[in-house]
Amino acid sequence: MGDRFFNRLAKASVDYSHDADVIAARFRGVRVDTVIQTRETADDESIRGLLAGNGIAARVSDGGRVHVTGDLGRITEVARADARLAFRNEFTELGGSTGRQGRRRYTAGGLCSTV
Amino acid sequence: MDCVQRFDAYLRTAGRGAEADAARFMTTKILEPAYNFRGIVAEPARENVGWLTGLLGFYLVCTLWYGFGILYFFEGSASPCGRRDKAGVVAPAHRGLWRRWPAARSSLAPSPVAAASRQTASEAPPQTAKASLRMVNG
Repeated sequence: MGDRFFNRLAKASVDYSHDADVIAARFRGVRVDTVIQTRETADDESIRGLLAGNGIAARVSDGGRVHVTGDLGRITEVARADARLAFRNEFTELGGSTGRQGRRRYTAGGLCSTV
Repeated sequence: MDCVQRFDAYLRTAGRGAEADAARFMTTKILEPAYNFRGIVAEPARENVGWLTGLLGFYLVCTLWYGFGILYFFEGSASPCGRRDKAGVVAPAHRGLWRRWPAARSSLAPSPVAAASRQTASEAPPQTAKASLRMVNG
């Protein structure tokens, strides 16, 4: 009980969503072009689909790599939106936005958000 | 999270420190808390003022209790932590408390040797300043 009580207080003190909004606005229009090496090759296609679903261009290249090209502000906005859903424990909505289920759903959402 | 670190490293090597900082901020301040605190409902501290005040008070009481426990432990073990006066009595560091508790004061009576030397000194005839000078000059 005590652990949960302090976890509730701690969670309330780490809400930086407002700062994320500022960052997203600041980097809107800044383009990035990078390659991500995923842990599992099977995830490549799903990550590409998640990114494409959020308006971020991505393509799977040889060797289990995902080439991501897009707006850093847009990527940050997607990350903030997914993180906000997870922060509010709205996992059903998060699953709807990422198209994944269970714990893997969230992991994929996190990857999508953080690319 | 792994890919974010790679993303951060990529931006840093490309000389884009501001973007790298933003990526790291998103990782450590936005995504990790959302992931680590999943399933927990956030509650601000202002809604738990009573609990927090009580816990802080309890913490202070325990700290003082523990501190005095250590103090009395060393005092009881006759550890000469304080300054020693002419009679050989160790003056306590906490003088205010010492004055208020005469029982504790009497428990630390001077040693018999020191008491005897003090008594001898009081019985000896007082020397005047002139007599002392005479002794020094021979």
